[in-house]
Amino acid sequence: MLAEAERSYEVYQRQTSKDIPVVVPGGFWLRPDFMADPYPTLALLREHYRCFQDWHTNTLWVTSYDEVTSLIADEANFSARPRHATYEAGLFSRDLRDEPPVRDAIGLGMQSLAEDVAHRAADGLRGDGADLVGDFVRPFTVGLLAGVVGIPDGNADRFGDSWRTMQEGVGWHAGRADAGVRAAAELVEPVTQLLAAPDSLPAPSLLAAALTSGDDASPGDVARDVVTTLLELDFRTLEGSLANLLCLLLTHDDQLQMVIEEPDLIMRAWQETMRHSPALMESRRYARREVERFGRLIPRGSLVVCSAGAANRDPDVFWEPDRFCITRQDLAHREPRGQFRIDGLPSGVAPGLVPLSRMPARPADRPPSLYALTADAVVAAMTALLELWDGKRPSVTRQPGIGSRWAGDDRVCRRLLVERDG
Amino acid sequence: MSPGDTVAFAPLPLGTAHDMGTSVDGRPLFDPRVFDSTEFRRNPHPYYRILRDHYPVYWDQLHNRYFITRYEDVIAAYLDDEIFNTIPKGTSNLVNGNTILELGGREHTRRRRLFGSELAGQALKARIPMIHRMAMEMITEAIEPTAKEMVTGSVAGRRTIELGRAFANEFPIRVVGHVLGFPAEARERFYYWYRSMQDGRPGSEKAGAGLQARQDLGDYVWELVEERRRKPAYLYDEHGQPTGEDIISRLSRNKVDGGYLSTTEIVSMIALLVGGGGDTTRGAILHMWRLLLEHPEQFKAVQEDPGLFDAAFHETLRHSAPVGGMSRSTNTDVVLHGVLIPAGSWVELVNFSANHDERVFADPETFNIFRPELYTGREVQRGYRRDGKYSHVGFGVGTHFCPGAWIAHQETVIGSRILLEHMRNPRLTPGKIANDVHGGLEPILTDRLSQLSELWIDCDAR
Repeated sequence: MLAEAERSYEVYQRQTSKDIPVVVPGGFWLRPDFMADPYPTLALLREHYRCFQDWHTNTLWVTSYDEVTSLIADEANFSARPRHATYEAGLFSRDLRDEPPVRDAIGLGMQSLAEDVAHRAADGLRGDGADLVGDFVRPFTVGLLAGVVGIPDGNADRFGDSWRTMQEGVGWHAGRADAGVRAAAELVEPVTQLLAAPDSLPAPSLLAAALTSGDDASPGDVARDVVTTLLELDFRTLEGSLANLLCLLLTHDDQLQMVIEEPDLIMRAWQETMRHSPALMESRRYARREVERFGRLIPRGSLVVCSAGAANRDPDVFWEPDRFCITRQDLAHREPRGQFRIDGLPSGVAPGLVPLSRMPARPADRPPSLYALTADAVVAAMTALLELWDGKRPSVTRQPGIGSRWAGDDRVCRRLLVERDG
Repeated sequence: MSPGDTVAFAPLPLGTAHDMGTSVDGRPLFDPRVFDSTEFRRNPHPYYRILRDHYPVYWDQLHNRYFITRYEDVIAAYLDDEIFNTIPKGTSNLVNGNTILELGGREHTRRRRLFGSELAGQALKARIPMIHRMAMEMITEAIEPTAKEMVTGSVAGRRTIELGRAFANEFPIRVVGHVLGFPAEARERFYYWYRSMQDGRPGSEKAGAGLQARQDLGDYVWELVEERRRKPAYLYDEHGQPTGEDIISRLSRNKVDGGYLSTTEIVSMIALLVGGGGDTTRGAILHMWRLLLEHPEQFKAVQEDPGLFDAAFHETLRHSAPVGGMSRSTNTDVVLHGVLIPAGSWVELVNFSANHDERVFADPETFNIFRPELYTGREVQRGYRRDGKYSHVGFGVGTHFCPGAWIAHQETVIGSRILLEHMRNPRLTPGKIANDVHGGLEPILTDRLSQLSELWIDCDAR
């Protein structure tokens, strides 16, 4: 203990301030202009600082592609904290995502259900006008998640509302956090009831698999595990990236036309969306120990914000990074590995879908990664839409936007009003 | 515009807080954006009361800090420097550089000893005539009828004085400069460097100017250090007898851990001493005079018995401490009031709140120099909690107790006694105080200084 208290004089001498006169204000990410469009500020940070110390919010910001990806992959020195750690509630318990039966159930569920759920969601768009986000993206995401979990169809909407409230409660806002705790508590009860009747659970499903993961655990305990797992399982990237993909395609006619003519480009369009406009803009990492990096000492426990938004628009890595171009040649077209690269090409940083596999190929006995499952789900959804449109692209009736509602919020398109041409 | 301005926290009557909602378990919710608001700067205490009553350890996820707000908890944390360590090196004021605020254990003690003894005890006793002389010179110069510059008006037998410009802004800096051993001819530049560095907080628009001032100070001190290493300078008592080397000489000539301090480190020490001894004492003087003049019956008692200035000084630091609190970093995971604070977390020990804890100080928002539960004796480094009396925590407690506490006390009391003699029937200038208190400050968190920008006083012309 005493040794910890007395830091070495040598380190003290080595640590000198590398900061330069400020070009962005403290607490910049709390400001309305950043929430409306963060990219100009992120470009300033990337240009002027290897690691920006925001004194106001006690955070370090890393913004260049190579620094962001290497830091996220550096699990020896930096750790992520689970989402439920931001809740000061005893409600949450075990995260079952790495339990083999649960992992398999999630993988098999997403693979087997995505196409069917996508067609059902697309069927809801048969009228002349629609909000593609509210009427398609959200029903698709919630329907798929409910199916994977094993929630009966009739309860999917209510389940979706609780899931969304619980996800939005993660973070600094006391009111949303309180609502999130309530939503999580509301989820526990129906899940407990479902678990109490195991014979009626669909297979594969997360619920059925969860029952096998706890030795003699009561349905109530398993239900809390399931709710914890639902909080940690990233479906926000699926929902947000699909919404942003549709928004970007419908506001870039030439790119949409390419996708309509060549549906195989859906995957590349999604990958470009993940780069150009990631839904989750940052990944938060905590220093496990004092680390000397970026020309400075990063104290133990420091919160380092790895900005995916900044990394994905790094001009040293991507040609004309602000341009949305689904056929760009400087973007990986396969599932990234390790530090977000494959075939020598970088991919867009998607914080919700890490850790990435470091293996060159997936072992045959393991289900696809969440990255691959999410990509396949997006392809299934877009395919269903293209079939519905049948070559007649819809037109946007009100200029859509991609944005955040509060500091730290996902940056997604929340309303996409369209009407069918002809 | 500060980040908090994105949310509407309209001004409320002092002592009342915005309703920020209620949690599922009936607790009032707390919105951390209020910390950035103008409303919080002018009216912090009802918000800290919410924290003390409902979140004695509050995790502010927006600013990535934990707040400890109850008196007993703050004292315990100050005294437990194994769990609540100093903040890591390089994480305090960017302009100052690395200072002893970021050191613990022997590293801290050995450096603090170099100058701490010059600010207390016998050395301080020998300084008192000098403090008295400096105060007398400044006050005479500023307030006597011949003085034109500091007196803004003199109509119908009334004179109006801005106490900051007349006395409090510069007096503490002159004392610090003297004790450090700064040559008199550098005083003007010294004051400019000090002001720029104080204003140049990290992340503020003035940070660049602050860094430049530090650079200039460093260039100047560099030569001074070289000179003092060859030939030390001395401080003298009122009889002209040397009492010891000045602080710059001591910093330059004494070895720590087998080697001399680097000039960079000496500059940081000087910057810390200047900041610590300047704005804080200035704040104490202005706050004390404001509070006394706002409570005429207590001011009358002080006029009748100037010995009460000691009690007024302590009560001022309890009621309106110039320093809101200090930051600490946890060495290990710690659970306090059911909240897990992970190792390496940034923790704010909120002096403002501890000094207004109803669990210790009755009716804490009231300024009362006769408060029976407040210890008003000589400052005690480890705090005072005996016989139903409690010391305020305006100076912190424990290893990092403000080394300038004793000299700040003397400066405030001696200066105030002289002011009392020179101002006839002083009272607050009508219409001035509401606009000036808490005006024009940067967003405040606990480690920031609470200041009056100005204090206007009317007095009768002699």
